[in-house]
Amino acid sequence: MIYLDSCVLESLSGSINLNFWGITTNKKKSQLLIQKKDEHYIFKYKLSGEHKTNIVLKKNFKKSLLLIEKIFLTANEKSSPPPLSLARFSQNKKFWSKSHSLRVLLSKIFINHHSLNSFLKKLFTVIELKSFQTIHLFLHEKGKAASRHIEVTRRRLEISKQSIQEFTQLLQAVKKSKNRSFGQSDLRSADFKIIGTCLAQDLALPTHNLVFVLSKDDFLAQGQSDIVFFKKLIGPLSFYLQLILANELSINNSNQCRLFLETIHSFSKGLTPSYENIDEFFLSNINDFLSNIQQVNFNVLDVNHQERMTLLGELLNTLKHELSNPLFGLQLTAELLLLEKSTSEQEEFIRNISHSIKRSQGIIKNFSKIYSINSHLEKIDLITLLHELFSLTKSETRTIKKNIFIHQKFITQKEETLYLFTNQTSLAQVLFNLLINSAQALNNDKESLSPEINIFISIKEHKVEIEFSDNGPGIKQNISQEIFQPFFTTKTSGTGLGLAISRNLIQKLNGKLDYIARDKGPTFLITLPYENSYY
Amino acid sequence: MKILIIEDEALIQKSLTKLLQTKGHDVDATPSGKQAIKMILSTKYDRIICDLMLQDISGFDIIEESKKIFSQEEVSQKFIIITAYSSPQVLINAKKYNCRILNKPFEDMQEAIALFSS
Repeated sequence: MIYLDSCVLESLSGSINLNFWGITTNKKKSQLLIQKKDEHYIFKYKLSGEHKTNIVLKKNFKKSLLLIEKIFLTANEKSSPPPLSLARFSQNKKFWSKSHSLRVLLSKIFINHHSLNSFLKKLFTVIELKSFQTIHLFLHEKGKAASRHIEVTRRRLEISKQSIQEFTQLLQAVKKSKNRSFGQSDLRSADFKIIGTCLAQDLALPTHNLVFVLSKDDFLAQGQSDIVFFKKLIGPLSFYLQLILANELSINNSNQCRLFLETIHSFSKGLTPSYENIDEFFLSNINDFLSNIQQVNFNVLDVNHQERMTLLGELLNTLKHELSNPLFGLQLTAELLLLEKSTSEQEEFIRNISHSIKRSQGIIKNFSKIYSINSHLEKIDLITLLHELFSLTKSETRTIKKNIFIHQKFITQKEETLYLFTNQTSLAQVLFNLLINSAQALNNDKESLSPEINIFISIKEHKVEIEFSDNGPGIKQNISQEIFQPFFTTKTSGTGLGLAISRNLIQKLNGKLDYIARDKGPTFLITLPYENSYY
Repeated sequence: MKILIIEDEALIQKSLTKLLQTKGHDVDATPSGKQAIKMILSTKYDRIICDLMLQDISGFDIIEESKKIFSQEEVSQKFIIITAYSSPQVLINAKKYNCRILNKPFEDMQEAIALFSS
């Protein structure tokens, strides 16, 4: 019977994120029980509060173990590295042998000493190893150009480098032998700083090749009991070494990642990287940095948006062309009719027809502005753009008063305007989105008597600020940042992408989109770069 | 002037015809490109206002066919292409024949009519 639980996981400090199975004798703590009964294996486990039992044939043990591992993985939702599979050891008969207590012993050592060096040192506390003086561990991480030699005694620990050739030589020599016991000349021990005779075993782990050596530092032959014990030890030892090394690997990798990211970050800022206080840098900058990468290159939202825009742009283009002819025909006919004699009432009707036609043509043209696949910068007339957008949302904003102010001065169409050098499509999309959002909120707000949308435009230093506010219910303080998250919405319909995309678009224009409190009330603030010299 | 309008959108065809007629021109019209070719080859037109996208063939095909009886200069002088599409391809082809192009819808009706009558 084997009990497995995650007690080992719980004992580790929070900074190491491992996910693997430990062995325990404590039935209460166990999450998984494996029982061998005749020709069957019985898996009993508790998952999401439910007790489950699987009975499998001996031959399906490995498969079942992998499956259970997967189930636990999904349930725990812990990130990589994945749990070390016990299945790897199911074929290692030594593991399933009666040396249960040895496993418990090693697990106890491991719980408190999960770094390689301290684990090896603590091995000396195992009683049967009392007479041994030195532990040698030769490791080669697969794919690396050099190997390590850790030499541990009760008093000291030494680490040295080794060439691959040397390591391989040793490995082969140990592997070839059917004995575990070696004399000095067998392994050319002097080359490896092994004193005298030793017990040695080669271990092939998924990420490393190892040679584990125990030596009494004398020239006597190994005793039979020592040899027997050594063989018993190797199985569980191998298991824990694998755990430790996997952990080491993942820490190393994350350090490397850290350095890598830091270098790139400094590079992107035009600085030379400094390695002081990496941790602080890492913690404070990593979010920034990752979100920068995200926004500039890997923004799935962006790609998604682009695709939709392209599709919409093409659709709109086709629509435009299809509608263009009939509308033109109507326009011409209306003009023709106006030239002919008609009653004043008929004339008025025809003028209305003509007006509607012009409006339809305008709508198509303006929508094309929003959805055109155009990424270049140009000089745009902001007030005209706003009015065009108003006309596009006429039905939604019919009852809403729309006021535009430039530098606090109220503006009607013909008077003043402001020129911006930016991408018309992007800005149009954002303003359109804000308009629609406002309109929907105002239309749903039954308490509002005189709904208004106010747009304040001003130039501050080298920036133009467009403040967009309405006298509707506004947005609650506690979600004022969340609203820009993708898929966040308080509406029952819609994708929740509008503000996320809008912010993204404005950022692409080197601007900012925020929701802030101003004396006029809660406001969407668009900030864009502004250069007087352009005009 | 004797004018031929080749346009398959009924309202556009009819109203353009009427508009030019009120200016005193003798106007024929057809929605079919193939029919237009026959008409061009059998009647002497001073002006041919031609849409590019027709049901059967394209305006450029009509121009090609009319080269049988028109010189390069006559082609560029008589034909005025009207089109809703203004892709670079269209412009390149028009340059090939050296014809004038007018985009639908017309920005300025009076200007357009004046052009047709010139």
